[in-house]
Amino acid sequence: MVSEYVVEIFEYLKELEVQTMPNPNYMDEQKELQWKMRTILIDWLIEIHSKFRLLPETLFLAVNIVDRFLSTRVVALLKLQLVGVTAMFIAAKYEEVVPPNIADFVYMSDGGYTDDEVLQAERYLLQALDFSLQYPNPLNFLRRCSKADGYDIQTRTIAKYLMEITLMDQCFLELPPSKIAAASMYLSRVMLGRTDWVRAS
Amino acid sequence: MLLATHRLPSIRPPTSLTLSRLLPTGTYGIVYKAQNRETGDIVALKRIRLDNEEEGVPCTAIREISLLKELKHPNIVRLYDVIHTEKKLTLVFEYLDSDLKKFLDTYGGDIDVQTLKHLMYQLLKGIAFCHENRVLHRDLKPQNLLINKKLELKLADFGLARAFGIPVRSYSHEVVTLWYRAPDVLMGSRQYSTSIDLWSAGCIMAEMASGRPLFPGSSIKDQLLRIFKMLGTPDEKSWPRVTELPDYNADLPIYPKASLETVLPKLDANGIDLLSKLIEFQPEKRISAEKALQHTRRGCHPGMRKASRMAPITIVRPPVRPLHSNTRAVQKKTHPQRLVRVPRDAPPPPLLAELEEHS
Repeated sequence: MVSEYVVEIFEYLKELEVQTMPNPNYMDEQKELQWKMRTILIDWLIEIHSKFRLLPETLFLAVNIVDRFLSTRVVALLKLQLVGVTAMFIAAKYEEVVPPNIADFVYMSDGGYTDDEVLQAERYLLQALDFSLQYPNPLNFLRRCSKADGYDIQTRTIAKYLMEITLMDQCFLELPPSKIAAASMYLSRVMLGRTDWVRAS
Repeated sequence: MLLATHRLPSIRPPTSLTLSRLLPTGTYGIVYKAQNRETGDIVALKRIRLDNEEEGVPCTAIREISLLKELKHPNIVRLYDVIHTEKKLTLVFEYLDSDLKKFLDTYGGDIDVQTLKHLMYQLLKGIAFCHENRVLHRDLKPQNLLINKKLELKLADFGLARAFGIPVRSYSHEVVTLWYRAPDVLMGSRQYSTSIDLWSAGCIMAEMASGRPLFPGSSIKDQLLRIFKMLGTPDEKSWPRVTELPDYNADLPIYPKASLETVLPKLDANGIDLLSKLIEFQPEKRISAEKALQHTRRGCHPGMRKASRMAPITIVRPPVRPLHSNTRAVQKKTHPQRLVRVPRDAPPPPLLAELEEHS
């Protein structure tokens, strides 16, 4: 089925990943924010993501939305959580079959923001990103290289975990998703003592 | 922004525009015809009201905009711009005067084979481009295929489209208007992929050949029965693992396979062969858009490449006919209840305070 388009699709995803990367130094432009606040925000997003039991794709997209938005707009500290919760709200609408309701997101932000504020932020974020939500998350690439070891479940699970923790640290912002997937796969295999791969010709 | 020249205020504000309502439906929103004051270009405006949307920008709009911005192809309708205000969202599209539904209403079974091949070729081109760019359309039907006087055909209405991963994960099975929905999806499969669009393409091809919908079912069961009457009721032999599909029903009557040639006398042997590969039961055996294109390029279709030079024909607007209410796919505006409720007892962590501590 899809396998016959696999070459075209991955060529395309490699193009897309370059277009959807944030500026890795965006914090230089922010006045009230610091990198450690980003880490706290992402940690919190991971928590609500798991409470809502959303797809991993949604988490990666939400974090990408946050970083790309912060690459283009200066945000006040008081609004940082609003950016995060709205990014998750948008990502869920894009990825999920049944996204959570806005009320759930407002509840999760401890009543810090109203429905209207989230809706206004949604408009602002979508405009700033020009509706570009086509970020090819690292899972696409992980699944692809996972095929090479016959979808070994242990390797893949550890690699997925490694990919998720890269979200927390800003030093990974300059790496494209395909590289993060490859590095996670490699490290996972090293950790499991499965280092018998040879160079592909 | 996509195309600066199309931004307001070059387009007349809708209040002072003589907007002609183009289509009674879309997956969402209302479509108007409008003119760019400066360039005189005609565009189609799809307006989505946001003031009654408790959940903000509908996910159909988010997906359609995000996906169409990427898909630039002669057989896919162009999205020029998006105008987003507090009360509404306006999508500025390339304008085409008609669609395949109106075209079929006018010409019915009188479409000549050359035209049919020409339109089918463009349809497959558009689908192949979507699939190469990992997009499933999921709502292909004559109403969503726009046509102009030069007989150019373009895929439109990406409200139900989505990007897919490889391998595919589970998606909603409530997609595609009933008449054009693949049997595996009708039986509850959620692991469908590109093949879902090719089944629709087959139904559309047959409709162009006869002037009538191939499987105009009134319910999921009726839809399946109509398909089985034509292709024969599937069993484990003709469709391995069909009985494992979520909504498989063993009690359906057993029909023998009918002859496509008799129903569609207009199609030659090659056309029948292509159609039977498009409306193939097994999704993994159904022909891909790329292979189907190669099929149409075979020697038996000599007129194919010449067709684009055919004299333009005038499209006569048929009287508006009400759409069957049962032909719409998912229309629900409200979100269904989530299966997983958010635990209201667990208070969320006080993030703001924590953030401020670090400032």
